[in-house]
Amino acid sequence: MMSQPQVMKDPGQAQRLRKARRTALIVAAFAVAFFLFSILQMVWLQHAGPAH
Amino acid sequence: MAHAATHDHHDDHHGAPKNFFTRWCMSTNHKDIGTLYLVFSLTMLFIGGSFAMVIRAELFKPGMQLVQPYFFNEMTTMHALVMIFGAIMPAFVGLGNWMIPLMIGAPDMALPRMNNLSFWILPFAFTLLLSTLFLPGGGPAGGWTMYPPLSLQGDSVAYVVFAVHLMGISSIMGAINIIATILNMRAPGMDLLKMPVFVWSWLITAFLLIAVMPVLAGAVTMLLTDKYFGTSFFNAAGGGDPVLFQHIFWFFGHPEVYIMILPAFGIISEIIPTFARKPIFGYKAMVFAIASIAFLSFIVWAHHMFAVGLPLGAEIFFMYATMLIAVPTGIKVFNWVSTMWGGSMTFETPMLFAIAFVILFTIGGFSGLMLALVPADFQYHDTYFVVAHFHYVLVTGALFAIIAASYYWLPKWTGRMYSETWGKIHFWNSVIWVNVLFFPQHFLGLAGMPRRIPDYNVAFANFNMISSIGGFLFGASQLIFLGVIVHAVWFSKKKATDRVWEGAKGLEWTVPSPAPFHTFDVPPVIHDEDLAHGHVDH
Ligand code: HEM
Ligand SMILES: [Cu+2]
Repeated sequence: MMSQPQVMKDPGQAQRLRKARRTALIVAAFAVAFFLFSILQMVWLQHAGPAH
Repeated sequence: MAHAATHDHHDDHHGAPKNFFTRWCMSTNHKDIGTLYLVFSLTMLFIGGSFAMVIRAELFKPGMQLVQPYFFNEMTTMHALVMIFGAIMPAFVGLGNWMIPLMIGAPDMALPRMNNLSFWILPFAFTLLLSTLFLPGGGPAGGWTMYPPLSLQGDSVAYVVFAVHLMGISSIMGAINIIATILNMRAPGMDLLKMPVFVWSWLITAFLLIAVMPVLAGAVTMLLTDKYFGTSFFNAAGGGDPVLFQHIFWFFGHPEVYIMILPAFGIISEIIPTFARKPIFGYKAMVFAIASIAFLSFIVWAHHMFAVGLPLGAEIFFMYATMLIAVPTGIKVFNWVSTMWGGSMTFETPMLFAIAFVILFTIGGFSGLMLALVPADFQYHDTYFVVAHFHYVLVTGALFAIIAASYYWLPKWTGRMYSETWGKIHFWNSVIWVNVLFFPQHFLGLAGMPRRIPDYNVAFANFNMISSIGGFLFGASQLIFLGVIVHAVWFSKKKATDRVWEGAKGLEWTVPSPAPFHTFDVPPVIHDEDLAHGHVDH
Protein backbone atom coordinates (compact mmCIF):
# COMPACT_ATOMS: atom_id res chain seq x y z
CA MET A 1 0.00 0.00 0.00
CA MET A 2 1.18 3.49 -0.82
CA SER A 3 2.29 5.21 2.36
CA GLN A 4 -0.34 7.70 3.33
CA PRO A 5 0.28 11.36 2.68
CA GLN A 6 0.38 13.32 5.85
CA VAL A 7 -2.63 13.44 8.07
CA MET A 8 -4.22 16.87 7.91
CA LYS A 9 -3.87 18.65 11.17
CA ASP A 10 -5.25 21.96 10.15
CA PRO A 11 -8.73 22.59 8.79
CA GLY A 12 -7.43 25.32 6.46
CA GLN A 13 -5.16 22.71 4.93
CA ALA A 14 -7.97 20.57 3.53
CA GLN A 15 -9.43 23.63 1.86
CA ARG A 16 -6.04 24.58 0.41
CA LEU A 17 -5.59 21.05 -0.93
CA ARG A 18 -8.98 21.13 -2.65
CA LYS A 19 -8.06 24.35 -4.38
CA ALA A 20 -4.67 22.92 -5.30
CA ARG A 21 -6.30 19.97 -7.05
CA ARG A 22 -8.43 22.34 -9.08
CA THR A 23 -5.36 24.36 -10.07
CA ALA A 24 -3.63 21.14 -11.09
CA LEU A 25 -6.51 20.11 -13.34
CA ILE A 26 -6.61 23.47 -15.07
CA VAL A 27 -2.86 23.44 -15.67
CA ALA A 28 -3.00 19.85 -16.92
CA ALA A 29 -5.72 20.82 -19.38
CA PHE A 30 -3.43 23.49 -20.78
CA ALA A 31 -0.63 20.96 -21.19
CA VAL A 32 -2.88 18.60 -23.14
CA ALA A 33 -4.10 21.49 -25.28
CA PHE A 34 -0.56 22.55 -26.13
CA PHE A 35 0.29 18.98 -27.13
CA LEU A 36 -2.69 18.66 -29.45
CA PHE A 37 -2.21 22.12 -30.86
CA SER A 38 1.43 21.47 -31.73
CA ILE A 39 0.41 18.55 -33.91
CA LEU A 40 -2.80 20.03 -35.31
CA GLN A 41 -1.08 23.17 -36.53
CA MET A 42 1.40 21.01 -38.42
CA VAL A 43 -1.45 19.12 -40.02
CA TRP A 44 -3.01 22.42 -40.93
CA LEU A 45 0.25 23.76 -42.36
CA GLN A 46 0.54 20.70 -44.55
CA HIS A 47 -2.89 21.32 -45.98
CA ALA A 48 -2.06 24.97 -46.53
CA GLY A 49 0.85 23.86 -48.71
CA PRO A 50 4.63 24.29 -48.42
CA ALA A 51 5.82 26.98 -46.00
CA HIS A 52 7.78 28.94 -48.57
CA MET B 1 -1.53 27.29 21.42
CA ALA B 2 -2.65 23.92 20.11
CA HIS B 3 0.69 23.44 18.48
CA ALA B 4 2.47 21.32 21.10
CA ALA B 5 -0.60 19.22 21.86
CA THR B 6 -1.20 18.32 18.23
CA HIS B 7 2.38 17.27 17.92
CA ASP B 8 2.28 14.85 20.81
CA HIS B 9 -0.93 13.36 19.62
CA HIS B 10 0.40 12.48 16.23
CA ASP B 11 3.83 11.38 17.27
CA ASP B 12 3.30 7.96 15.70
CA HIS B 13 2.96 9.58 12.29
CA HIS B 14 6.35 11.20 12.49
CA GLY B 15 9.55 9.60 11.37
CA ALA B 16 10.18 7.86 8.10
CA PRO B 17 8.96 4.32 7.36
CA LYS B 18 11.52 1.75 8.49
CA ASN B 19 11.14 -0.55 5.52
CA PHE B 20 13.51 0.46 2.71
CA PHE B 21 11.08 -0.34 -0.09
CA THR B 22 8.16 1.48 1.54
CA ARG B 23 10.29 4.46 2.41
CA TRP B 24 11.83 5.06 -1.00
CA CYS B 25 9.67 3.37 -3.62
CA MET B 26 6.31 4.27 -2.10
CA SER B 27 7.34 7.66 -0.82
CA THR B 28 4.91 10.54 -0.82
CA ASN B 29 7.20 12.72 1.28
CA HIS B 30 8.59 15.78 -0.47
CA LYS B 31 11.93 15.49 1.29
CA ASP B 32 12.48 11.84 0.42
CA ILE B 33 11.33 12.41 -3.15
CA GLY B 34 13.65 15.40 -3.32
CA THR B 35 16.50 13.18 -2.17
CA LEU B 36 15.58 10.58 -4.78
CA TYR B 37 15.67 13.20 -7.51
CA LEU B 38 19.03 14.51 -6.33
CA VAL B 39 20.61 11.06 -6.13
CA PHE B 40 19.23 10.20 -9.56
CA SER B 41 20.59 13.45 -10.96
CA LEU B 42 24.04 12.85 -9.51
CA THR B 43 24.08 9.36 -11.02
CA MET B 44 23.14 10.78 -14.41
CA LEU B 45 25.80 13.46 -14.02
CA PHE B 46 28.45 10.79 -13.79
CA ILE B 47 27.00 8.69 -16.63
CA GLY B 48 26.71 11.74 -18.90
CA GLY B 49 30.14 12.81 -17.70
CA SER B 50 31.68 9.51 -18.75
CA PHE B 51 30.26 10.07 -22.25
CA ALA B 52 31.94 13.48 -22.26
CA MET B 53 35.22 11.85 -21.30
CA VAL B 54 34.93 9.58 -24.35
CA ILE B 55 34.33 12.64 -26.53
CA ARG B 56 37.31 14.54 -25.13
CA ALA B 57 39.54 11.46 -25.34
CA GLU B 58 38.73 11.02 -29.03
CA LEU B 59 39.33 14.72 -29.67
CA PHE B 60 42.59 14.77 -27.71
CA LYS B 61 44.53 14.49 -30.96
CA PRO B 62 43.53 14.88 -34.61
CA GLY B 63 42.85 11.64 -36.45
CA MET B 64 40.67 8.75 -35.36
CA GLN B 65 41.97 7.53 -32.02
CA LEU B 66 39.69 5.39 -29.95
CA VAL B 67 36.13 5.01 -31.18
CA GLN B 68 34.18 4.53 -34.38
CA PRO B 69 32.49 7.62 -35.86
CA TYR B 70 29.01 6.25 -35.24
CA PHE B 71 29.81 5.59 -31.60
CA PHE B 72 31.22 9.11 -31.30
CA ASN B 73 27.93 10.48 -32.60
CA GLU B 74 26.04 8.34 -30.13
CA MET B 75 28.18 9.83 -27.39
CA THR B 76 27.50 13.47 -28.31
CA THR B 77 23.78 12.74 -28.61
CA MET B 78 23.51 10.77 -25.39
CA HIS B 79 25.74 13.13 -23.45
CA ALA B 80 23.34 15.99 -24.17
CA LEU B 81 20.15 14.02 -23.56
CA VAL B 82 21.43 12.55 -20.30
CA MET B 83 22.77 15.86 -19.00
CA ILE B 84 19.73 17.97 -19.95
CA PHE B 85 16.90 15.61 -19.06
CA GLY B 86 18.68 13.39 -16.56
CA ALA B 87 21.08 15.61 -14.64
CA ILE B 88 20.17 19.32 -14.78
CA MET B 89 16.37 19.20 -14.86
CA PRO B 90 15.92 16.50 -12.18
CA ALA B 91 18.42 18.30 -9.96
CA PHE B 92 16.27 21.42 -10.03
CA VAL B 93 13.11 19.38 -9.44
CA GLY B 94 14.83 17.71 -6.50
CA LEU B 95 15.88 21.04 -5.03
CA GLY B 96 12.38 22.38 -5.59
CA ASN B 97 10.81 19.37 -3.91
CA TRP B 98 13.02 19.66 -0.89
CA MET B 99 12.93 23.41 -0.48
CA ILE B 100 9.68 24.87 -1.86
CA PRO B 101 7.42 23.42 0.89
CA LEU B 102 9.99 24.43 3.53
CA MET B 103 10.26 27.92 2.09
CA ILE B 104 6.54 28.62 1.89
CA GLY B 105 5.55 26.87 5.12
CA ALA B 106 3.61 24.00 3.52
CA PRO B 107 3.51 20.48 5.00
CA ASP B 108 4.26 18.84 1.65
CA MET B 109 3.70 19.20 -2.08
CA ALA B 110 0.06 19.59 -3.04
CA LEU B 111 -0.12 16.24 -4.88
CA PRO B 112 2.19 13.83 -3.04
CA ARG B 113 1.22 10.66 -4.91
CA MET B 114 1.71 12.28 -8.28
CA ASN B 115 5.06 13.43 -6.98
CA ASN B 116 6.05 9.81 -6.46
CA LEU B 117 4.98 8.94 -9.99
CA SER B 118 6.85 11.91 -11.51
CA PHE B 119 10.05 10.64 -10.01
CA TRP B 120 9.68 6.93 -10.57
CA ILE B 121 9.02 7.37 -14.29
CA LEU B 122 12.54 8.71 -14.72
CA PRO B 123 14.64 5.62 -13.97
CA PHE B 124 12.54 3.69 -16.48
CA ALA B 125 12.83 6.43 -19.10
CA PHE B 126 16.60 6.53 -18.81
CA THR B 127 17.02 2.76 -18.69
CA LEU B 128 15.09 2.69 -21.94
CA LEU B 129 17.14 5.48 -23.47
CA LEU B 130 20.50 4.08 -22.38
CA SER B 131 19.57 0.55 -23.40
CA THR B 132 19.53 1.66 -27.02
CA LEU B 133 23.33 1.85 -26.88
CA PHE B 134 23.36 -1.94 -26.59
CA LEU B 135 20.84 -2.65 -29.33
CA PRO B 136 22.05 -4.19 -32.60
CA GLY B 137 21.32 -1.02 -34.58
CA GLY B 138 22.85 1.26 -31.96
CA GLY B 139 21.40 4.26 -30.16
CA PRO B 140 20.39 7.69 -31.42
CA ALA B 141 23.29 9.49 -33.06
CA GLY B 142 21.69 12.44 -34.84
CA GLY B 143 22.22 14.95 -32.05
CA TRP B 144 19.96 15.85 -29.11
CA THR B 145 18.11 18.20 -31.45
CA MET B 146 16.83 15.15 -33.37
CA TYR B 147 16.58 16.92 -36.72
CA PRO B 148 14.94 14.78 -39.38
CA PRO B 149 15.79 13.19 -41.77
CA LEU B 150 19.05 12.38 -39.96
CA SER B 151 17.41 11.36 -36.69
CA LEU B 152 15.07 9.00 -38.52
CA GLN B 153 17.92 6.80 -39.64
CA GLY B 154 18.56 3.77 -37.49
CA ASP B 155 16.25 1.59 -35.49
CA SER B 156 16.24 3.30 -32.11
CA VAL B 157 13.68 5.98 -33.02
CA ALA B 158 10.76 4.34 -31.25
CA TYR B 159 12.76 3.80 -28.06
CA VAL B 160 14.06 7.34 -28.01
CA VAL B 161 10.65 8.85 -28.71
CA PHE B 162 9.06 6.79 -25.97
CA ALA B 163 11.84 7.73 -23.55
CA VAL B 164 11.34 11.42 -24.39
CA HIS B 165 7.61 11.04 -23.89
CA LEU B 166 8.22 9.56 -20.44
CA MET B 167 10.63 12.34 -19.47
CA GLY B 168 8.12 14.88 -20.73
CA ILE B 169 5.27 13.40 -18.72
CA SER B 170 7.47 13.36 -15.65
CA SER B 171 8.42 17.02 -16.09
CA ILE B 172 4.85 18.09 -16.80
CA MET B 173 3.54 16.35 -13.71
CA GLY B 174 6.36 17.86 -11.68
CA ALA B 175 5.49 21.30 -13.00
CA ILE B 176 1.78 20.87 -12.29
CA ASN B 177 2.64 19.89 -8.74
CA ILE B 178 4.90 22.87 -8.24
CA ILE B 179 2.34 25.33 -9.60
CA ALA B 180 -0.47 23.82 -7.50
CA THR B 181 1.75 23.89 -4.42
CA ILE B 182 3.02 27.44 -4.75
CA LEU B 183 -0.32 28.95 -5.69
CA ASN B 184 -2.33 27.20 -2.97
CA MET B 185 -0.23 25.84 -0.14
CA ARG B 186 1.54 28.94 1.15
CA ALA B 187 1.28 29.52 4.89
CA PRO B 188 -0.88 32.50 5.85
CA GLY B 189 1.24 35.63 5.56
CA MET B 190 3.50 34.24 2.82
CA ASP B 191 2.14 36.51 0.09
CA LEU B 192 3.33 36.02 -3.46
CA LEU B 193 5.59 39.04 -3.31
CA LYS B 194 7.13 37.88 -0.04
CA MET B 195 8.18 34.50 -1.39
CA PRO B 196 11.88 33.69 -1.71
CA VAL B 197 13.25 34.34 -5.21
CA PHE B 198 13.98 30.62 -5.61
CA VAL B 199 10.27 29.87 -5.21
CA TRP B 200 9.40 32.58 -7.72
CA SER B 201 11.93 31.25 -10.20
CA TRP B 202 10.42 27.77 -9.93
CA LEU B 203 6.86 29.05 -10.33
CA ILE B 204 7.80 30.77 -13.58
CA THR B 205 9.89 27.81 -14.75
CA ALA B 206 6.94 25.49 -14.12
CA PHE B 207 4.79 27.60 -16.46
CA LEU B 208 7.50 27.36 -19.11
CA LEU B 209 7.52 23.60 -18.69
CA ILE B 210 3.75 23.38 -19.05
CA ALA B 211 3.89 25.41 -22.23
CA VAL B 212 6.77 23.69 -24.00
CA MET B 213 7.19 20.08 -22.85
CA PRO B 214 3.93 19.14 -24.63
CA VAL B 215 5.30 20.77 -27.78
CA LEU B 216 8.41 18.59 -27.59
CA ALA B 217 6.15 15.60 -27.09
CA GLY B 218 4.20 16.64 -30.18
CA ALA B 219 7.37 17.07 -32.22
CA VAL B 220 8.75 13.64 -31.37
CA THR B 221 5.34 12.09 -31.91
CA MET B 222 5.44 13.43 -35.45
CA LEU B 223 8.94 11.97 -35.86
CA LEU B 224 7.48 8.65 -34.78
CA THR B 225 4.60 8.77 -37.24
CA ASP B 226 6.93 9.92 -40.03
CA LYS B 227 9.18 6.97 -39.35
CA TYR B 228 6.67 4.21 -38.77
CA PHE B 229 3.19 5.30 -39.81
CA GLY B 230 3.62 6.79 -43.25
CA THR B 231 3.02 10.46 -42.45
CA SER B 232 5.28 13.08 -43.97
CA PHE B 233 5.22 16.02 -41.61
CA PHE B 234 8.91 16.58 -42.13
CA ASN B 235 9.46 14.63 -45.31
CA ALA B 236 9.82 16.85 -48.40
CA ALA B 237 9.11 13.95 -50.75
CA GLY B 238 5.65 13.61 -49.21
CA GLY B 239 4.88 17.33 -49.18
CA GLY B 240 6.30 18.00 -45.72
CA ASP B 241 9.14 20.27 -44.66
CA PRO B 242 12.12 19.34 -42.45
CA VAL B 243 12.55 22.98 -41.46
CA LEU B 244 9.15 22.83 -39.76
CA PHE B 245 10.66 20.37 -37.32
CA GLN B 246 13.34 22.88 -36.46
CA HIS B 247 10.72 25.54 -35.78
CA ILE B 248 8.70 23.34 -33.52
CA PHE B 249 11.77 21.88 -31.83
CA TRP B 250 13.23 25.28 -31.02
CA PHE B 251 9.86 26.63 -29.92
CA PHE B 252 10.41 24.04 -27.21
CA GLY B 253 14.20 24.27 -27.20
CA HIS B 254 14.80 27.88 -26.39
CA PRO B 255 12.38 28.03 -23.43
CA GLU B 256 14.00 24.75 -22.41
CA VAL B 257 17.38 26.42 -22.00
CA TYR B 258 15.70 28.95 -19.72
CA ILE B 259 14.06 26.11 -17.83
CA MET B 260 17.63 25.10 -17.07
CA ILE B 261 18.74 28.55 -15.93
CA LEU B 262 15.82 30.30 -14.18
CA PRO B 263 15.92 28.04 -11.08
CA ALA B 264 19.67 28.65 -11.07
CA PHE B 265 18.95 32.39 -10.96
CA GLY B 266 16.70 31.67 -7.99
CA ILE B 267 19.41 29.73 -6.17
CA ILE B 268 22.01 32.44 -6.69
CA SER B 269 19.51 35.00 -5.41
CA GLU B 270 19.24 32.99 -2.17
CA ILE B 271 22.95 32.40 -1.64
CA ILE B 272 24.41 35.83 -2.35
CA PRO B 273 22.24 37.68 0.23
CA THR B 274 23.09 35.07 2.87
CA PHE B 275 26.83 35.43 2.51
CA ALA B 276 26.76 39.18 1.88
CA ARG B 277 24.50 39.52 4.96
CA LYS B 278 22.28 41.93 3.08
CA PRO B 279 18.80 41.51 1.59
CA ILE B 280 18.76 41.00 -2.15
CA PHE B 281 19.04 44.27 -4.02
CA GLY B 282 15.86 44.99 -6.00
CA TYR B 283 13.68 42.03 -5.01
CA LYS B 284 10.78 43.00 -7.23
CA ALA B 285 13.07 43.80 -10.13
CA MET B 286 14.55 40.32 -9.77
CA VAL B 287 11.11 38.73 -9.94
CA PHE B 288 9.99 40.82 -12.89
CA ALA B 289 13.28 40.18 -14.68
CA ILE B 290 12.71 36.44 -14.40
CA ALA B 291 9.17 36.86 -15.70
CA SER B 292 10.27 38.99 -18.65
CA ILE B 293 13.07 36.57 -19.56
CA ALA B 294 10.46 33.80 -19.51
CA PHE B 295 8.15 35.79 -21.77
CA LEU B 296 10.91 36.73 -24.21
CA SER B 297 12.09 33.13 -24.35
CA PHE B 298 9.00 32.34 -26.43
CA ILE B 299 9.80 34.79 -29.22
CA VAL B 300 13.46 34.10 -29.93
CA TRP B 301 13.50 30.46 -31.05
CA ALA B 302 14.62 31.06 -34.62
CA HIS B 303 18.01 32.37 -33.46
CA HIS B 304 18.94 28.69 -33.63
CA MET B 305 17.96 28.66 -37.30
CA PHE B 306 19.51 31.80 -38.76
CA ALA B 307 21.41 29.68 -41.26
CA VAL B 308 18.43 27.73 -42.66
CA GLY B 309 17.35 30.50 -45.02
CA LEU B 310 14.73 32.48 -43.12
CA PRO B 311 13.13 35.54 -44.71
CA LEU B 312 15.16 38.68 -43.97
CA GLY B 313 12.37 40.16 -41.83
CA ALA B 314 12.37 37.07 -39.63
CA GLU B 315 16.14 37.17 -39.21
CA ILE B 316 15.92 40.78 -38.07
CA PHE B 317 12.99 40.16 -35.74
CA PHE B 318 14.63 37.20 -34.04
CA MET B 319 17.96 39.00 -33.81
CA TYR B 320 16.49 42.00 -31.98
CA ALA B 321 14.17 39.92 -29.82
CA THR B 322 17.16 37.84 -28.74
CA MET B 323 19.24 40.88 -27.94
CA LEU B 324 16.37 42.22 -25.81
CA ILE B 325 16.90 39.36 -23.35
CA ALA B 326 20.17 40.98 -22.41
CA VAL B 327 18.17 43.74 -20.66
CA PRO B 328 16.48 41.68 -17.92
CA THR B 329 19.56 39.46 -17.72
CA GLY B 330 21.68 42.56 -17.18
CA ILE B 331 19.30 43.67 -14.43
CA LYS B 332 19.87 40.40 -12.63
CA VAL B 333 23.64 40.54 -12.86
CA PHE B 334 23.58 44.18 -11.73
CA ASN B 335 21.41 43.29 -8.74
CA TRP B 336 23.60 40.38 -7.66
CA VAL B 337 26.64 42.62 -7.76
CA SER B 338 24.76 45.37 -5.91
CA THR B 339 23.73 42.87 -3.25
CA MET B 340 27.37 42.09 -2.63
CA TRP B 341 28.35 45.76 -2.73
CA GLY B 342 29.04 46.98 0.80
CA GLY B 343 27.96 43.65 2.29
CA SER B 344 30.04 41.94 4.94
CA MET B 345 30.94 39.00 2.81
CA THR B 346 32.37 35.64 3.71
CA PHE B 347 33.43 33.07 1.17
CA GLU B 348 32.17 29.66 2.12
CA THR B 349 31.91 27.12 -0.70
CA PRO B 350 28.32 27.96 -1.74
CA MET B 351 29.26 31.63 -2.05
CA LEU B 352 32.38 30.80 -4.08
CA PHE B 353 30.32 28.83 -6.56
CA ALA B 354 27.72 31.61 -6.63
CA ILE B 355 30.31 34.28 -7.41
CA ALA B 356 31.86 32.07 -10.08
CA PHE B 357 28.37 31.68 -11.48
CA VAL B 358 27.85 35.43 -11.78
CA ILE B 359 31.12 35.95 -13.63
CA LEU B 360 31.17 32.87 -15.84
CA PHE B 361 27.47 32.85 -16.67
CA THR B 362 27.93 36.42 -17.85
CA ILE B 363 30.69 35.26 -20.20
CA GLY B 364 28.21 32.75 -21.60
CA GLY B 365 25.65 35.52 -21.97
CA PHE B 366 28.10 37.62 -23.92
CA SER B 367 28.94 34.83 -26.34
CA GLY B 368 25.17 34.35 -26.68
CA LEU B 369 24.86 37.98 -27.71
CA MET B 370 27.56 37.46 -30.31
CA LEU B 371 25.64 34.47 -31.66
CA ALA B 372 22.48 36.55 -31.79
CA LEU B 373 23.98 38.77 -34.49
CA VAL B 374 22.72 37.28 -37.74
CA PRO B 375 25.76 38.03 -39.91
CA ALA B 376 28.13 36.81 -37.23
CA ASP B 377 26.09 33.68 -36.60
CA PHE B 378 26.49 32.66 -40.24
CA GLN B 379 30.14 32.20 -39.29
CA TYR B 380 29.70 30.79 -35.80
CA HIS B 381 26.74 28.49 -36.36
CA ASP B 382 27.47 24.81 -35.81
CA THR B 383 31.02 25.51 -34.71
CA TYR B 384 32.73 24.99 -31.39
CA PHE B 385 31.90 28.61 -30.56
CA VAL B 386 28.32 27.49 -29.96
CA VAL B 387 29.62 24.59 -27.88
CA ALA B 388 31.65 27.01 -25.78
CA HIS B 389 28.65 29.33 -25.37
CA PHE B 390 26.23 26.79 -24.11
CA HIS B 391 28.71 25.10 -21.83
CA TYR B 392 29.43 28.40 -20.12
CA VAL B 393 25.73 28.96 -19.48
CA LEU B 394 24.99 25.35 -18.64
CA VAL B 395 28.07 24.13 -16.76
CA THR B 396 29.36 27.27 -15.09
CA GLY B 397 25.75 28.48 -15.03
CA ALA B 398 23.20 25.79 -14.29
CA LEU B 399 25.54 23.13 -12.89
CA PHE B 400 27.52 25.53 -10.70
CA ALA B 401 24.24 26.80 -9.25
CA ILE B 402 23.16 23.23 -8.50
CA ILE B 403 26.49 22.53 -6.81
CA ALA B 404 26.24 25.80 -4.87
CA ALA B 405 22.73 24.86 -3.76
CA SER B 406 23.91 21.42 -2.68
CA TYR B 407 26.58 22.89 -0.42
CA TYR B 408 24.18 25.56 0.81
CA TRP B 409 21.35 23.22 1.83
CA LEU B 410 23.28 20.01 2.57
CA PRO B 411 23.60 20.89 6.30
CA LYS B 412 19.82 21.40 6.43
CA TRP B 413 19.25 18.03 4.76
CA THR B 414 21.76 15.96 6.72
CA GLY B 415 22.17 17.89 9.95
CA ARG B 416 25.97 17.83 9.55
CA MET B 417 28.45 20.24 8.08
CA TYR B 418 30.39 19.19 5.02
CA SER B 419 34.16 19.69 4.99
CA GLU B 420 34.78 23.32 4.10
CA THR B 421 38.41 22.56 3.19
CA TRP B 422 37.44 19.88 0.71
CA GLY B 423 34.58 22.02 -0.57
CA LYS B 424 37.08 24.75 -1.38
CA ILE B 425 39.45 22.25 -3.00
CA HIS B 426 36.51 21.10 -5.10
CA PHE B 427 35.65 24.67 -5.99
CA TRP B 428 39.12 25.77 -7.09
CA ASN B 429 39.67 22.65 -9.12
CA SER B 430 36.29 23.01 -10.80
CA VAL B 431 36.63 26.68 -11.59
CA ILE B 432 40.12 26.39 -13.03
CA TRP B 433 39.63 23.25 -15.09
CA VAL B 434 36.24 24.24 -16.42
CA ASN B 435 37.82 27.28 -18.01
CA VAL B 436 40.73 25.26 -19.38
CA LEU B 437 38.09 22.94 -20.80
CA PHE B 438 35.74 25.43 -22.42
CA PHE B 439 37.55 28.70 -23.03
CA PRO B 440 39.76 27.35 -25.85
CA GLN B 441 36.62 26.10 -27.57
CA HIS B 442 35.78 29.74 -28.37
CA PHE B 443 39.01 29.99 -30.36
CA LEU B 444 38.39 26.66 -32.06
CA GLY B 445 34.96 27.82 -33.13
CA LEU B 446 36.16 31.17 -34.40
CA ALA B 447 38.82 29.32 -36.38
CA GLY B 448 36.10 27.21 -37.95
CA MET B 449 36.11 23.86 -36.19
CA PRO B 450 32.65 22.28 -36.64
CA ARG B 451 30.82 20.73 -33.70
CA ARG B 452 29.85 17.03 -33.55
CA ILE B 453 32.87 15.66 -35.44
CA PRO B 454 35.22 12.87 -34.28
CA ASP B 455 38.21 14.03 -36.34
CA TYR B 456 39.55 17.44 -37.30
CA ASN B 457 42.16 19.39 -39.16
CA VAL B 458 45.62 19.43 -37.54
CA ALA B 459 45.30 23.22 -37.36
CA PHE B 460 42.99 22.71 -34.38
CA ALA B 461 45.29 20.31 -32.54
CA ASN B 462 46.68 22.48 -29.74
CA PHE B 463 43.50 23.98 -28.40
CA ASN B 464 41.80 20.59 -28.54
CA MET B 465 44.52 19.03 -26.47
CA ILE B 466 44.29 21.81 -23.89
CA SER B 467 40.53 21.45 -23.83
CA SER B 468 40.74 17.69 -23.33
CA ILE B 469 43.20 18.06 -20.46
CA GLY B 470 40.83 20.54 -18.83
CA GLY B 471 38.01 18.10 -19.45
CA PHE B 472 39.71 15.14 -17.76
CA LEU B 473 40.68 17.22 -14.75
CA PHE B 474 37.26 18.85 -14.47
CA GLY B 475 35.72 15.39 -14.61
CA ALA B 476 38.10 14.11 -11.94
CA SER B 477 37.34 17.15 -9.76
CA GLN B 478 33.73 16.08 -9.54
CA LEU B 479 34.87 12.95 -7.72
CA ILE B 480 35.92 15.33 -4.93
CA PHE B 481 32.30 16.54 -4.88
CA LEU B 482 31.14 12.96 -4.50
CA GLY B 483 33.62 12.49 -1.67
CA VAL B 484 32.46 15.64 0.14
CA ILE B 485 28.82 14.52 -0.09
CA VAL B 486 29.53 10.97 1.12
CA HIS B 487 31.54 12.38 4.00
CA ALA B 488 28.87 14.92 4.95
CA VAL B 489 26.04 12.40 4.84
CA TRP B 490 27.67 9.50 6.68
CA PHE B 491 30.89 10.51 8.40
CA SER B 492 30.95 14.17 9.34
CA LYS B 493 31.01 14.78 13.10
CA LYS B 494 30.28 18.48 12.92
CA LYS B 495 26.63 19.18 13.74
CA ALA B 496 24.81 21.89 11.85
CA THR B 497 22.81 24.51 13.70
CA ASP B 498 19.22 25.21 12.65
CA ARG B 499 20.12 28.43 10.92
CA VAL B 500 23.35 26.90 9.53
CA TRP B 501 24.57 30.17 8.00
CA GLU B 502 24.78 33.34 10.07
CA GLY B 503 23.13 35.48 7.43
CA ALA B 504 20.47 32.99 6.30
CA LYS B 505 16.88 34.23 6.20
CA GLY B 506 13.66 32.42 5.46
CA LEU B 507 11.34 29.78 6.87
CA GLU B 508 13.51 26.85 5.85
CA TRP B 509 16.04 27.90 8.49
CA THR B 510 13.48 27.94 11.31
CA VAL B 511 13.10 24.15 11.28
CA PRO B 512 15.71 21.89 12.91
CA SER B 513 18.74 20.48 11.08
CA PRO B 514 18.32 17.85 9.76
CA ALA B 515 14.82 18.87 8.72
CA PRO B 516 12.43 16.41 10.40
CA PHE B 517 10.46 14.01 8.22
CA HIS B 518 7.34 16.17 8.60
CA THR B 519 7.51 19.93 8.89
CA PHE B 520 4.84 22.63 9.09
CA ASP B 521 2.04 20.16 9.84
CA VAL B 522 0.42 23.25 11.22
CA PRO B 523 1.12 26.36 9.17
CA PRO B 524 3.83 28.38 10.92
CA VAL B 525 3.13 31.78 12.41
CA ILE B 526 5.37 33.91 10.28
CA HIS B 527 7.43 36.63 11.96
CA ASP B 528 9.16 39.51 10.24
CA GLU B 529 12.57 37.98 10.79
CA ASP B 530 11.50 34.77 9.04
CA LEU B 531 10.82 36.62 5.82
CA ALA B 532 13.71 37.29 3.51
CA HIS B 533 11.59 39.94 1.79
CA GLY B 534 8.92 42.30 3.06
CA HIS B 535 7.10 42.40 6.39
CA VAL B 536 4.21 40.55 7.91
CA ASP B 537 0.98 42.53 7.65
CA HIS B 538 -0.48 43.31 11.05
C1 HEM C 1 22.11 35.74 -22.58
C2 HEM C 1 21.29 35.39 -23.46
C3 HEM C 1 21.52 34.33 -24.51
C4 HEM C 1 21.63 34.56 -25.84
C5 HEM C 1 21.58 35.92 -26.51
C6 HEM C 1 21.79 33.29 -26.50
C7 HEM C 1 21.91 33.11 -27.86
C8 HEM C 1 22.10 31.91 -28.49
C9 HEM C 1 22.13 31.71 -29.92
C10 HEM C 1 21.95 32.81 -30.95
C11 HEM C 1 22.34 30.40 -30.16
C12 HEM C 1 22.41 29.69 -31.51
C13 HEM C 1 23.79 29.57 -32.00
C14 HEM C 1 23.89 28.77 -33.24
O1 HEM C 1 23.47 27.59 -33.25
O2 HEM C 1 24.39 29.30 -34.23
C15 HEM C 1 22.44 29.75 -28.88
C16 HEM C 1 22.65 28.41 -28.72
C17 HEM C 1 22.49 27.77 -27.51
N1 HEM C 1 22.26 28.36 -26.28
FE1 HEM C 1 22.15 30.32 -25.92
N2 HEM C 1 21.83 32.31 -25.57
C18 HEM C 1 21.65 32.90 -24.35
C19 HEM C 1 21.59 32.26 -23.14
C20 HEM C 1 21.56 30.90 -22.99
C21 HEM C 1 21.28 30.21 -21.76
C22 HEM C 1 20.97 30.90 -20.44
C23 HEM C 1 21.34 28.90 -22.02
C24 HEM C 1 21.15 27.72 -21.13
C25 HEM C 1 21.20 27.72 -19.86
C26 HEM C 1 21.67 28.74 -23.42
C27 HEM C 1 21.84 27.52 -24.04
C28 HEM C 1 22.10 27.36 -25.37
C29 HEM C 1 22.25 26.08 -26.01
C30 HEM C 1 22.14 24.71 -25.33
C31 HEM C 1 22.51 26.33 -27.35
C32 HEM C 1 22.85 25.31 -28.42
C33 HEM C 1 21.72 24.50 -28.85
C34 HEM C 1 22.18 23.51 -29.88
O3 HEM C 1 22.29 23.86 -31.05
O4 HEM C 1 22.47 22.35 -29.51
N3 HEM C 1 21.81 29.97 -23.97
N4 HEM C 1 22.30 30.69 -27.88
CU1 LIG D 1 18.10 29.91 -27.83
